[in-house]
Amino acid sequence: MRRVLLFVVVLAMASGPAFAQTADGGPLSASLKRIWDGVKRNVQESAEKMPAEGYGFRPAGVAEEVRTFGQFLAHIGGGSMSYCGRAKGEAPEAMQASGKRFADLEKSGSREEIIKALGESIAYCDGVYGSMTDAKLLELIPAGQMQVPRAQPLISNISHDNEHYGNLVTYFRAKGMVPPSTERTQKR
Amino acid sequence: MKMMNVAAATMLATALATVPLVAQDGANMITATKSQFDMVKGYITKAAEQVGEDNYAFKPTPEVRSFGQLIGHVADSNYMICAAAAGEKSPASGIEKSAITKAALQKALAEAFAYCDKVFAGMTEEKSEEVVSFFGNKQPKLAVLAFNTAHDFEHYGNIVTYMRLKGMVPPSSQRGM
Repeated sequence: MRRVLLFVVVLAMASGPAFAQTADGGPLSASLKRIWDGVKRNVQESAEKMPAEGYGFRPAGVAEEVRTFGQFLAHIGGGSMSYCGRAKGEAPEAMQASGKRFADLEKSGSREEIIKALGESIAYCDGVYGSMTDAKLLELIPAGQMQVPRAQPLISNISHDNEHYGNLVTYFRAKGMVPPSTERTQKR
Repeated sequence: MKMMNVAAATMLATALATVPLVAQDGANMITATKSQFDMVKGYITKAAEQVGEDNYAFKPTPEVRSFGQLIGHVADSNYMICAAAAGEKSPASGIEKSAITKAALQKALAEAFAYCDKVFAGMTEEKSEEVVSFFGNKQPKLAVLAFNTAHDFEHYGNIVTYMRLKGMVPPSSQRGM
């Protein structure tokens, strides 16, 4: 979270081939996937880095109604399933089942269960982001009484994951640990 | 939708005849991206207002940014990233290092967000796909703006936990936000 962080995340987004030149589905869909790849990596590595005893951690002074480290991860997984499900046009029954699964994990999931479910949510979203083209991103999908571009929930998912990764970063620091995005820079 | 862009939606409707399009407000990639920027801009602006001057120097651990430094960093990065999206030289930098008081940081933050608003306002569908150089790679302008929003959200997440550590409720969890 020091000054190098911006540089780190920029590198995470910008490293590798220039997407505008290589994207089959178009430059915007390729860029969106690359931004997703950056935050999913941060979240997944956070889940793996924190030992089981840290899953129930919230920094001293933070109110009890605020999520613990593990609850944030379960919440991120549930959010990803919901946002990516909307972009994909997933069946309502499947969306409800997934919502219940992650809500249960947020209440009482173990580290192993949360890592497994989070991994599945990431794989699910990978499929959705990977199937996008610029044209598909612009297709309108229902959102309540409105119609929004298919891109909308995929952009919201990235915002949501980044926000909660920001929470995780400060939880890591409060535990005397270095968050994965900073650790990668330190290893360079 | 908060953002209105009838002209762009009409262009979109013309371009995509395969979907049942209506010329609907907010129905394109630019407004989808801008709506997220507006959201995080509102949250960070509110947080900067609600945290007291005495807590601008607060940091949870010695090696991380203080609250005020986070606000300065967000201002700096908005200038830098939105300038990259616009293909312009960044109009300001070094706020994190130079601005200390709450008033100065709030002012700098508001000006940086206003600069990004201006860059968004100048974006058309055609321009959004133009490529610009961003840290050595070619990126569509709109993707650079989307990245800025993602970066803002990450630091808003830091801010949320800083506020929680001070017993405060962050703007996104307050009624009416």
